[in-house]
Amino acid sequence: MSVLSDAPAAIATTDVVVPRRQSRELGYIAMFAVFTAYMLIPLVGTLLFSVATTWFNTILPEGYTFEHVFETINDPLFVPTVGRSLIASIATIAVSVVLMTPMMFLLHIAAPRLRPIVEFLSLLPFALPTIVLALSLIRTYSSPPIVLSGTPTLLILSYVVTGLPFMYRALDNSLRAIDTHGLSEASATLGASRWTTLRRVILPNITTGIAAGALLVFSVSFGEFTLSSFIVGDAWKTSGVWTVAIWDDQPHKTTVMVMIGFVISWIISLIILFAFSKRATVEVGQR
Amino acid sequence: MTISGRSTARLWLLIAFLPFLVFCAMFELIPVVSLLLGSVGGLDRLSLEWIIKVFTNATFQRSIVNSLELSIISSLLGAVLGTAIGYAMMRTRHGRVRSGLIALASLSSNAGGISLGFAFITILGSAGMITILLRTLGIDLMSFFSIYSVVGLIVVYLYFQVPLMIVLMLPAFAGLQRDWAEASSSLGGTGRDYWRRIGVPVLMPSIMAGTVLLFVSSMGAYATAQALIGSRINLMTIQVSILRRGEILYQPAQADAMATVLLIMVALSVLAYHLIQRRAQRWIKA
Repeated sequence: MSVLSDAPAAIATTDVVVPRRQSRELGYIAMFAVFTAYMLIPLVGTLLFSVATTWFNTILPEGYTFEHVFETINDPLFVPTVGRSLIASIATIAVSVVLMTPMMFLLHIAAPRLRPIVEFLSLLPFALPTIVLALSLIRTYSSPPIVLSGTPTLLILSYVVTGLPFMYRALDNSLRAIDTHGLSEASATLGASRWTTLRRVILPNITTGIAAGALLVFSVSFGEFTLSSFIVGDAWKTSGVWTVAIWDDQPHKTTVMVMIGFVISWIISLIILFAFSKRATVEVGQR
Repeated sequence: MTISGRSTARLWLLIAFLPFLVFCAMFELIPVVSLLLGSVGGLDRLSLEWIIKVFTNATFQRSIVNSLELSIISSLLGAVLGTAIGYAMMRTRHGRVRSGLIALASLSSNAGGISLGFAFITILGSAGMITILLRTLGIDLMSFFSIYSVVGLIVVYLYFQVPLMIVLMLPAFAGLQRDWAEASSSLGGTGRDYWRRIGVPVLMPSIMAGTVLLFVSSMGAYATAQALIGSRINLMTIQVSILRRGEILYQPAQADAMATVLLIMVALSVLAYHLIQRRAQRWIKA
């Protein structure tokens, strides 16, 4: 909690006109150290717990073992639950890309007037707490005319909803970056139809953008808990629901699953950060 | 282009947008309307009984107070810390440290969900790493701090609030141009003048918008709290889940009403965010 006292002091002593650089720099470094520790200690704790033999009264575990990792992977529920989460996430990406790519392309070249509507609908999920979305969907689709509650279909479609803002931003940014309008006009002058233009000119140029959006969608849907526990629950147990269910009896397995989740989301974020964009991606995740 | 050619083109355009619009209608708009209707008992029963109960029943009142307390404190702390650290990141001379921290902040700003709850139990729970470390130093952490409390949740939520604020503030700091400080000092302004007349007024809209966004992200958080505390702390999201699942009592209309109140609070905050953000954008170059 020492950041609390350090932070405002650092701002107050900052003097733009007469720099006192040395002491100021030291203050910054102290803040960075506390911040980095705060960000890393929970990860270290989880990592150690997942490979600890026994760990009760010592600061560090008494011994290390991969036994829990193997136990978790060999658990009869590991492959089915992780498999379902993978299927759901990949299906979500497929649906999102097909649903949004042609539409966003047309939005840019032919229907700029529809932008406010599309933007509103795409960003709306940010204003929708996940549990509110879950509740709305199950109450709407539990009774005729359309009954989808309890099915993976509804789960996947709910993930598509939570992924909309990510796909929208990713597609919008990349379509902006490549001068979609100019390219399309050039392509039309050469006699290409819009469909041909999208397929042969635009798509090859925005693959990285689509991939970045897809990875973000993957990271919010894989390991997700709220929607899957409400919409499918035990009927189609995902890895998130399983991870929570085993906490009481097999906490080590839970921490192994959490560790796997951390590793996956860090890998995805690093790919996006270094391979796809020079800028930091600013997104609000689902909690 | 002939008239018929143009209207055919229009028709195609409409068909191209149709899947998206139908999808949003079916899975965003209709469900939300259905929830709002459910909270008043449906069109045939139409009563404000459940909404009123959200504000009059002691348990539900408590959940609103707890959620607000948690979200207001964690978003204010997150905003102050995130702004301070973000500022230091922009000012430090160590370029490598800066890019490393930007990477760390943008990775962590997406943190959340059940993983975060469990991760904090392994360090601050009763057998957690830090709890034991302090015990060996003779400090009994559990006597004055519990991870399973509102204060505990604040500590956990700051894990995504602080980096999120940093990421939100970086463009604003980038917009704070160096020549303004020089102009201010060549006109005889002191450091204090600079901050009072230029720095703070330019940054304030961004800080406020960021704070509101942090508030939104913690009001709606459910998975982290559920993993960490189960039903031990009375929050609005937890209350929705209890009422809907019926582990103790199954009251779907009451769950709808609670979710509706939560939705309205969050939606109003998002609206406020957009209004403030529009002001903030003035200083940030596109």
